[in-house]
Amino acid sequence: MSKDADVCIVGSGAGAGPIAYELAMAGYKVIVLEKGPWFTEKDFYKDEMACCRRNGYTPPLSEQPQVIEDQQSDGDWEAESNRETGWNFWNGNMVGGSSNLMSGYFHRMKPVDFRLLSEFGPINGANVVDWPITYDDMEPYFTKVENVVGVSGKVVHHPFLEPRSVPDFPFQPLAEHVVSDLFDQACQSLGYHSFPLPRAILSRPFNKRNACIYSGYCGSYGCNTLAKGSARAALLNDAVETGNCEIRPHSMVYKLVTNNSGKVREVKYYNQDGNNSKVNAHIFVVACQAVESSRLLLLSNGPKHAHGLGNNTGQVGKNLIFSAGGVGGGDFHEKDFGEELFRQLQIQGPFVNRALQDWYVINDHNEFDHPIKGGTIDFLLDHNNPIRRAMRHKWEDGKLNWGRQLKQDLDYSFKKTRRFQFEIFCDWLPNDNCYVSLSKKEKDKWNTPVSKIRVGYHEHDLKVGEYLAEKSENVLRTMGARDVYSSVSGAPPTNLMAGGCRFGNDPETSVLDKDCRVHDCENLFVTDGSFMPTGGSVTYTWTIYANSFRVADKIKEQL
Amino acid sequence: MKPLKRSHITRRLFIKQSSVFSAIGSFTLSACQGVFTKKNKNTGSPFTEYDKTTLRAVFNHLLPSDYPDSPGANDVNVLGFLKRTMQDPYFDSYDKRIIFNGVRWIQETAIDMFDNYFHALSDNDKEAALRDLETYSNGEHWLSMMLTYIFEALLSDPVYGGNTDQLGWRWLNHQPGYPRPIIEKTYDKL
Ligand SMILES: Cc1cc2nc3c(=O)[nH]c(=O)nc-3n(C[C@H](O)[C@H](O)[C@H](O)COP(=O)(O)OP(=O)(O)OC[C@H]3O[C@@H](n4cnc5c(N)ncnc54)[C@H](O)[C@@H]3O)c2cc1C
Ligand code: SF4
Repeated sequence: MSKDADVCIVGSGAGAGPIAYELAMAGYKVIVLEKGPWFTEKDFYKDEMACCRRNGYTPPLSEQPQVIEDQQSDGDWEAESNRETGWNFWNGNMVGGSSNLMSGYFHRMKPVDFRLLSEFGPINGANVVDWPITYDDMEPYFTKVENVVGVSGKVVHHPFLEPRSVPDFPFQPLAEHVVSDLFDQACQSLGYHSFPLPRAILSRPFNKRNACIYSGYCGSYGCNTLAKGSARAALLNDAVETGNCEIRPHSMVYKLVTNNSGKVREVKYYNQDGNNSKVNAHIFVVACQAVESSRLLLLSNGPKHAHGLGNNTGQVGKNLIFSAGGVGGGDFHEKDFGEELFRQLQIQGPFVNRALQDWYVINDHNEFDHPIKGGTIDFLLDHNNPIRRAMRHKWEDGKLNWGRQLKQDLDYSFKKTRRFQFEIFCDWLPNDNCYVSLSKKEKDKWNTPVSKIRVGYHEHDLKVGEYLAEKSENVLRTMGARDVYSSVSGAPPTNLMAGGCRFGNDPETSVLDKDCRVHDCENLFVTDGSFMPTGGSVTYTWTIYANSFRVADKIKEQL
Repeated sequence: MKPLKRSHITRRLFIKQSSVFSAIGSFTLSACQGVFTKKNKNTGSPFTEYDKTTLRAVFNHLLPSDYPDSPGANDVNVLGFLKRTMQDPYFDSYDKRIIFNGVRWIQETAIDMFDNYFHALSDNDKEAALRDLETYSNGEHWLSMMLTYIFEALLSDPVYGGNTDQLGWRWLNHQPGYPRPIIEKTYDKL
């Protein structure tokens, strides 16, 4: 029977892009359904209000809320709709998804991340498992991302450098800020191994995409040059150009319809006019970002899946993870650095692009009686968002700050200081209190139950985060920063999410098989970060891209 | 009655509390309302003239214009920015209520404490009235909101109605990014 497409993909972000690209290039007909609009590089503005103060790229919470359940100080779990609280778990809703807005800090996972249970043993209260594949299975695809999406960087040896099949990155490192030198000097004096942080940003033109122009407004902003390796710029544009890939924006998918044998027959969605539409295909791919992919599966019950697609063992939505860790920073003051160096510190545009992974595994008997998994620290200059910078001066000693004092503080802080920051990434241990289910009360504007997200964390994550925060603070102090601070907590970074449909060999404890196919639904794949049973101690997107390229090969074999 | 001394409150709770607060206080104003209560029929403004006068005085106190080489809140049109924001299609109706309630509260506080309009008070008395309002959780919340709108109006792109002639950016040596937003593509039109 003829179908609308060989493959229908739901969502169009990092998990979707490689599938669309690979299959369209191979001559298969692909339809991509994306709930958000289709912006091009001409539609992005450096507008702090749109990206960061209002919901310019995410739906209004009054129409598309989510329910967040977190633990109160008395131990009780309290669920509140973000219609009320504004605690937003949506990221970029548009063609290319949140990858349009990412900073593109890119790290590969390391061999040890694939074997967390075998390497470090079980942790009470955490659902740690080994991955069903190894680093060697993934390595060719990490390399493919470097070449196809475009990753710039330079290999510098350090104790935890992962094995690579190619000696160096295909794109030279991006231009660096003067502060990178100061950072290297500080690390050297401390005996730490600083290395250039790879970025999913082009340092030279490539394949109709321009090189980065160092706009100074990167993370949270769309890119006007196509240099940032969003799924749209790096993959979907090429996929569409083959003539084999059709993208339908403003298409909100609400159900995968299965037949009596449990295979997906079609997907149903609301189009821009609010009308009901559908697409049938041989193979379906879900890549709506972790929370919404679980939601869509849970909404899709059918003859063989009474409690949601892939959920016959109750695993869908379970073991949701985020990037654990925290943030911190300190201020460089003109009076400490002198006018000339400070003027250079004030320059905006070039990147810091430095990271530390000296404690990717922590082997410190003074702190922990056996080796534990540690993490990554990325360093950066404060984003240029001026409203956010001003907001820091709203409170002073627990009171609101206003009047001449406020003006003096703003004047000094903007003109005489520059903030340097760090972000810590460690494993968010999967646990029974971090999962997605369907809300029984709250519905979206189409009357569909919304995601309910419980965001419990494991205390162990804080210990690791604090250990790394101390090391990071050392670096900042050595560099001459004042008022060095860090904040490590169990609050989930809402833009760095994965899990919920983890892959594994045992259907009792996983949703997907090792090819990311739903165990009991042979023509349905999930390719965003949902598949990850553990997240590694790095940002996720390189792994999401790489895995999606890997799954594309499996889909080709099946078609 | 001053029941709501500082506490951490969720927004829902805050709404409950703030409606209580405004109900208690609203009658005190009636004596002096006459001059100002005429609504701005033609401009479609959400505020009365009295409210606008109060708000301008509050803004000017929070971000005064007398600090050297720098704009005050009214130089960068915080009131115009706020009015535009409140007209956003998805502007939160709770927030709208809080904004209106807060104006009432500070008007009433001024009258309670000094038997005068807030805008007519000396700087010291304005400070005392605002600091008094700050001791109530919902008063603090309103003031915190006003400061947020001040920061936004001072430092957002002028396309949103604040930051007149880029005065805020120029004061703080801020270099905007390019391309800058255009009127057809502000956040409410994406
Ligand atoms: C500000 C910011 C900075 C970031 N920085 C980094 C970084 O430095 N490094 C890094 O590795 N990662 C970073 N990330 C994270 C990165 O963007 C994500 O990991 C990645 O995009 C996730 O890919 P995804 O396919 O799961 O989801 P997305 O890329 O978000 O794509 C999901 C898409 O599915 C669509 N969708 C959802 N539900 C439906 C539905 N029912 N029907 C149709 N469409 C649907 C959404 O609209 C969205 O477009 C950042 C993210 C943000 C927001
Ligand atoms: S041009 Fe460079 S700095 Fe600007 S958004 Fe694109 S990748 Fe980021």
